[in-house]
Amino acid sequence: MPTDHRTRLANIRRFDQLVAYLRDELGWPIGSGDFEELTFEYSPEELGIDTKNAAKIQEIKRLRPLSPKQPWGIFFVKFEPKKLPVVALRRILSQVALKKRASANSAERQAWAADDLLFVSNYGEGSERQISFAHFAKPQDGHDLPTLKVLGWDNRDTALHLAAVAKELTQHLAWPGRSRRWRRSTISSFRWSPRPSGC
Amino acid sequence: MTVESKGRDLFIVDNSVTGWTGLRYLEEWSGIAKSFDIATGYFEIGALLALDGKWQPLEKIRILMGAETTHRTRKALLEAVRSRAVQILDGSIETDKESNPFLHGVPAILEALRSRQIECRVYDKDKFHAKAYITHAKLEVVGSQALVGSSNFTKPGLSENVELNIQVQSAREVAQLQEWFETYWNDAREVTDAVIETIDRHTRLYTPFDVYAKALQEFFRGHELTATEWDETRSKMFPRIDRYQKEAYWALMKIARQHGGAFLCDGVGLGKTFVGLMLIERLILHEGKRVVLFAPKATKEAVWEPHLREYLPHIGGASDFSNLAVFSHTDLSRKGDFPERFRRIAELADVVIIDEAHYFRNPGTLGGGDGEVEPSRYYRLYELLDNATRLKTLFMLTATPINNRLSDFRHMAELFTRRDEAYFGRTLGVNNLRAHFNQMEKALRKRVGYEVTDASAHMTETQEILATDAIFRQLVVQRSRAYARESQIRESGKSAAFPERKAPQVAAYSIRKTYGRLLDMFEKAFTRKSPLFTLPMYYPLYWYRGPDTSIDRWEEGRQEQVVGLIRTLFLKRFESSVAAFELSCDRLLQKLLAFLEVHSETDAEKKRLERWKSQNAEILGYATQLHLELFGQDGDESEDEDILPQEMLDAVEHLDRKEYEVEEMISETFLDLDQIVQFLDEARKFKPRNDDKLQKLIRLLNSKDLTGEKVLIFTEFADTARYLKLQLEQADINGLAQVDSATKTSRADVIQRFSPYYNGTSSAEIVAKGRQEIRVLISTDVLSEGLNLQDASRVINYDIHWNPVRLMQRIGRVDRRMNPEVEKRLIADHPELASSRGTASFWNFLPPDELNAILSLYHKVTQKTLLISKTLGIEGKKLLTPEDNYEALKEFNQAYEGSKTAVENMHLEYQALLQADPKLETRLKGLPGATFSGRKRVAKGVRGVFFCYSLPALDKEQNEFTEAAGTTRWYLYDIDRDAILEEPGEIVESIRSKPETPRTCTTEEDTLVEMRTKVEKHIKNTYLKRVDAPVGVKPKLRCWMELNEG
Repeated sequence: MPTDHRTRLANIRRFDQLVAYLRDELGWPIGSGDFEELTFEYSPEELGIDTKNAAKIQEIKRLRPLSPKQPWGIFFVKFEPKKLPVVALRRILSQVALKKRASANSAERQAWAADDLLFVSNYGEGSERQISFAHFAKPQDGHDLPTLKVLGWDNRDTALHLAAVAKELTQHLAWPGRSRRWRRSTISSFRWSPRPSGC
Repeated sequence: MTVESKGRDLFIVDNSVTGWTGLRYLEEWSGIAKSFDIATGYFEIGALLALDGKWQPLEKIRILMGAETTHRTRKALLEAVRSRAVQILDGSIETDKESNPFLHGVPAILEALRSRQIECRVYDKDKFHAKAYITHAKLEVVGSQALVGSSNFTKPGLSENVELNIQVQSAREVAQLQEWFETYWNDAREVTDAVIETIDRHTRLYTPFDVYAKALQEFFRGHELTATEWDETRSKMFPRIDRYQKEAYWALMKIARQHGGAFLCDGVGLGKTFVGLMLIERLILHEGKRVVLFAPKATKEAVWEPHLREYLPHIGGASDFSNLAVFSHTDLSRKGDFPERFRRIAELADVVIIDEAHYFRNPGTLGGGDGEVEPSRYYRLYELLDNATRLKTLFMLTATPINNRLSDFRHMAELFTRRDEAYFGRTLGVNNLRAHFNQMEKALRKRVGYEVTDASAHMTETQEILATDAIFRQLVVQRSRAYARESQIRESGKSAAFPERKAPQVAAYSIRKTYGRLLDMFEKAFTRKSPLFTLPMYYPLYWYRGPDTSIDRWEEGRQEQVVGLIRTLFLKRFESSVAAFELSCDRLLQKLLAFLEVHSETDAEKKRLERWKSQNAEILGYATQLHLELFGQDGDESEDEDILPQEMLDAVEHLDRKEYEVEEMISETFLDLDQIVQFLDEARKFKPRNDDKLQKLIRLLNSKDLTGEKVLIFTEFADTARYLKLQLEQADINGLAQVDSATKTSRADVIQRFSPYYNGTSSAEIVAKGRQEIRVLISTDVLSEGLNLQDASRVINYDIHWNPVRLMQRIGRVDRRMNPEVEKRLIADHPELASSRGTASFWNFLPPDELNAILSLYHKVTQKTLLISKTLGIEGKKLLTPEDNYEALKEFNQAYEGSKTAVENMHLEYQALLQADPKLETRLKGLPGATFSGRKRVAKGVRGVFFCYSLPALDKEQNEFTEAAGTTRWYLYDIDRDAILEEPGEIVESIRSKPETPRTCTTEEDTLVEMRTKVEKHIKNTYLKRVDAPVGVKPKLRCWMELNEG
């Protein structure tokens, strides 16, 4: 029986459910380990996030690479039940994205090209808890800050919206994901929405 | 699942979620059966553990195993099948320990095997691939049934994989199956005892000593290779080197294989060359590599080439067929056919060995595309190593990987990391090399003071920081002399002889007596705002008034630094000798005049310059005369003091008056010129007989301490060296020679004549060849490194030793490993030296009365705390007698001798254990994974749990994470502090045990498992995160031990 992606998406409220979706429906070779085993933990202090922003963050995790030379990074950030705090997200980005000046990067922490980073956020109250994918595109027209683009859903979304999200995900996130081409298409080619109001 | 088939159900067991699993099938049968007969490809302990509590009532379980491999000969098959069966079982127990660390359920299995309730056989006559489970019910009315299909007797085979097994119910068919089983069972080989042995290994109660020794073995397994058959039987070098040198060679091979480059940084005089020779022999003869060796010219000629002839004649000389090419460092910058030769080398070489690699600690100038500025030697080498088609492995030999800054080491490493900042990301967890070193520099400054810019003054602190650094620890083989000595004693009962180093003695002299009024003038010149000189031509940006606001601050800083360096150089040369000072004045004077020639454009300016020149004509002529005396008509100037790049000193750039305050600069330059002339005017009154320092040297050389002894005199400056040669000749000091970088005669010849016995000849041979033996050798630092000058045992440092690293190198020329055979020959030929052999003495020239003044001038021009004051405690005239017992001197001795590090001590400890019990190593290798024990904690030890993990890293060749590419680390969970300790030197104190230490386990298993989980989480979020280990890559627990209250 074909998967009803809309229903599955509507039921995803937590990261472990999302990871199961990526594994079961999109063929990611994640194995059967629990979410804890599949991810690395980061503390806000470790990423140099100030106390004010740190207070909004419940946890920061990164999906462990699925192959030794994986060029991209996926972060899972769980925020306190409010709206997506973009400033906090930007702070994280600034810590894990490669900087032009080599010595400005962290000695121990890995860093990625900003384009190769995907942030999966989890926020919202109770039944409104939602998951969104965020990507910072390279700044255009000389803007200083990378542009935040978001693809998200919750269980209140219309079937049409869920279908559109499912299409985006199945089209761009289906494994195999080793090649550079795949990652560009994965991360950059979503039909990203501008960031939601209030973010 | 059952399927309708012609009126009878087909009973299928396929492990499906909705249907039957093999496990459930056997569980249900266990309740009603008296015995099982099992035929299986593999047997894993997990299958029986999954049936724990169910299988026990069975009277008999017969397990018939096979293997899915074929072998040509019966013997090979037999052995392979048996060992594979056992190996699979062993592996399954290891896996099971991850979820069942204390192997609950296994002792019962073991007991059942011993009582033959469970019997195991391996069918080894042919490939055996059958899977069947014949279950015999207790009740005859039920009878026997069988399940036949694809499931192995493993947990996945019985519960996880999609399998296909069909139940055979018909009594007749089951009887046929039973007959089949019996046939094979009878033909199979009994392996129950082997299975018992395999399982027993995992369930045995190990002692604290087992865990402690295993942890040591594992710790050092990650650091060294072991001797190969080639080493033992074919190598000619291997039997000639000591245990600690063998360890270095193995470790270097392993490091280079993992990282593409390795460093040997043993202390001076420990025989790095011999390790280098061992590497060369191995790489060329055993591994078929093409090797290039770079060494300083003097070392190449005097050490490497003779040693290669003596020890490695079998690899082929330079002119024969040989895969070894030997070059001087300086060849890298030479013209002629060298560039073409290096292009070929870049194409063909596999391995590059660099002796005295610290010469490549500074990158220097990249060189312009226009060809005007030549690239530095560093960049020439960098280019030579850059060949993607033939990757080159790099070995670097240096006693002083850090000379001034921690980044010295980074620059050398970058020769093979190719400036890929994340080069060590997946292997050592360092994702940005530059940032990593910046962090260490910060840590160092935090300890020694932020104003400190030169690490050489703080060797102890620097070493401490490096000792805990992941990169340094993994890339560098560095042992102290103390370790080498003790290692040798443990191995053979005696150590190589090193001379006894006497406390340094002070040769006191008076600068005032030498210089008279010149000293006051010199000091006065330092009281100005710009001490000594202003030197506008070297710091033009200070006078820049143009519109360009984008001038690089770094460039301005560099110009300011150049001026500072010139001032420092003047101070050092002033202290060294009048000759050196005068010649510096003269050279600077010429440069300043050249600047004025170019910039005096108006008539008034031109007239002023001409007038100045004619007024000072006599002085100008006088300085030139002195130069001629020391260097001759065509003498090159010394290259020794290459503090400043020559091109910078030579370039007189024309400055535009619209942009620079040229008039002001001219006036300042005239002031500098006047200052120089004043100095020169006073200096010309100087007579060598008034030179107190020189006279002191003459007296010293004629003293009973030095008469008849070989003496090595070091000075930093060629001008001083030549001046001394001239003056000592006039003072009738015999057997005198002098060498500096501009000396035309062969350095190798000088070295052989000065130190014949340690350079493959003798006094008689020297004379026979019509050459004169040298007794007193005056040298700049061109001879301070890598050479064997042990024929001498007396060293004089004629200048203040501004740089302790340099001082260590100098001392290392005579204070190094003595060769008993050479000593015997030497004393036989020169019995008069018998009493002085085995000691090394040093004299440091110091001006007690003016020392503080010199130190404060130094501080004024450099803003640095003076290095020597820290090193030898000479501040406040303290170090004036050898009896003075200074903490700082001890520190220096410690840095020179090297105190054993915690890891070195652990290594010696392990070496001692192996020696005490020759069978220990094999026994430790036979211990299972996750070996567990417990003990009462030692008096001051930690209460908690110790863990030894093997951590995987990326094998770049295979592109996968392997344990072989990784390392071993220790962790200690401290219960009282709720902290995880990681420093092996600290941990070892808590786990050290003796063979008789009793095993005491009191901690609840749940608590132990909880701590293990915490530590593994910690490893995941520290080490594994840094090396970015993919999903599924895990640390492997090698052994662990609870440390309890008893």
